[in-house]
Amino acid sequence: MNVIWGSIIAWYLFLAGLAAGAFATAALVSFKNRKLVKVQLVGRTIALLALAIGLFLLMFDAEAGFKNPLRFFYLLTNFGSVMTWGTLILGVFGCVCLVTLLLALLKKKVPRALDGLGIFMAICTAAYTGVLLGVIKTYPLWNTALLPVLFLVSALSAGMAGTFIISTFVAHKELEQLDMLKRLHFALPLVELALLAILLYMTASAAPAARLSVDRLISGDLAPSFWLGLVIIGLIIPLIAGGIGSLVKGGRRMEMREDAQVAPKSEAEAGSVAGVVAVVGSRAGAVAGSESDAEAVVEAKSVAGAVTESESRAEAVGSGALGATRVIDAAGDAGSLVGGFLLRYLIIVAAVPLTFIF
Amino acid sequence: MTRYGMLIDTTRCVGCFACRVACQMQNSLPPHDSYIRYEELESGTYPDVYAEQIPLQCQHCEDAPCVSVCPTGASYINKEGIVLVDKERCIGCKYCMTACPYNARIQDHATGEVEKCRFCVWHDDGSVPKPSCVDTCVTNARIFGDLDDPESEISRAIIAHNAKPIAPGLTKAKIYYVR
Ligand code: SF4
Repeated sequence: MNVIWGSIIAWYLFLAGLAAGAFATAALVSFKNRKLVKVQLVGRTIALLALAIGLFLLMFDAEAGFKNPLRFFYLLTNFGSVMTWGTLILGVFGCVCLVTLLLALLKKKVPRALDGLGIFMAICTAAYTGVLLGVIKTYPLWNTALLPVLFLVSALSAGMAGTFIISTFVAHKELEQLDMLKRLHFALPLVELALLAILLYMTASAAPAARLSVDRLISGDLAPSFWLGLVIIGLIIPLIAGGIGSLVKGGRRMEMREDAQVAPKSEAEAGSVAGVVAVVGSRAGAVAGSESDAEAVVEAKSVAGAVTESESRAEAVGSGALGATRVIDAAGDAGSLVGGFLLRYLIIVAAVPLTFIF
Repeated sequence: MTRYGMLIDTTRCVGCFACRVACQMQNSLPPHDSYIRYEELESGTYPDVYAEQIPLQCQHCEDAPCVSVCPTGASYINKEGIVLVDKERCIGCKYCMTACPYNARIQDHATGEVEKCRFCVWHDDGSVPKPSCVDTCVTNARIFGDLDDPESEISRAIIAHNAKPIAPGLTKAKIYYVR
């Protein structure tokens, strides 16, 4: 089969989506709580880096332009072309990414309006990558209005995953205040699964030839990467990880509430979903008001060996071991990233042209 | 107005592929690249079967999707209705290749530029020679000419054979097929 666009373009689509999602994550965090500077910095950095790498790949793939770079100026001539819209969108979005990252690095306030504009451009960026393929009638698998929506959701999912997985290592304390966002991002795979199912169903029932694309994915040569890579690793694992995380955190929150009410010593054995997880840590958090105090308490008690989790505001993790849920969260995030790439890769390579000769 | 088109009579085509070779020679294409490709269609049930050889190339669509998606304006339609590529503007993004439902475009591996059948037009000055494929065809299965001139050979042949574009609902193609 003659594949016109290959993995380079799939990487570009993924990186553009990742950039859009990471920027949106950073901006949302900033709207929620400006003080969480590290997570914002992580998100903004990923956005600019991913966009820069993606754009390089895009230009590299456009061989004739890569060899004659001046020709890229012609990109602004046909305003009926989705690729021209993309050029404009990427231009504005890239500038916003650059400026906001610089402001963040200089420890200046990023104006809300700029972040708002950035979110808008991020949405345009993620959606346009879907429209780019969506307007192409040659491939029934691409030619749907659903693709931009799917790419948008997947972009947010990948961007949050990317931001959170790195923040786990460099800004885990800030992450703990972002429960809502984390919960949201683990729900996105569910939406993606539904959209993907509708997309494949629509394509399969559209035309006899269109079925071929779907068959390649669900039972043909691409089935292993589709089921194992995209569905299981990319969507189900993040879902499960999110589910476990929510359960554990839910249990922990109840526990902490109890801790706050009852005298600190009385319920060390309070059972929770988390079971053995560092009750000491959470109690320390509830008792001591500030984090540093809590850490001091924890350290003093040296709760080595306790299976703790990142949610524990008291940072019992200070004892060394990575919290179990933190590992699970990271696995879910990694899955989301793999899924984000595979989604685009598979949609690109599985495309079978329509048959027009009967 | 001149509006160039072509007629391909698949009932005369013997599948010798001479048109492809002539096209490759004309355009200095390597053996594995060509602007003409073939699809074979089998129909009927044994023993009453029929194999049809269908030569395909750029259909010079009036509503060319390749032209509307081309971001640099490198793909365009000239005043005689011939779809052309201005290589000096082509960045090789291959968007037009994905947009062409006939899979009629190929990429020049040396330059990265995209090219395709151009009805053997070199200059945009209206001087159109007879395309090599038409010239070469041993069975005269191909006719080239002005669709807007009702007296032209092609216009009369289209009416006589009730020739139609290969996929009438797909694009407004200017290559007519007799099948
Ligand atoms: S056949 Fe393909 S290359 Fe030719 S004008 Fe139509 S879309 Fe463009």
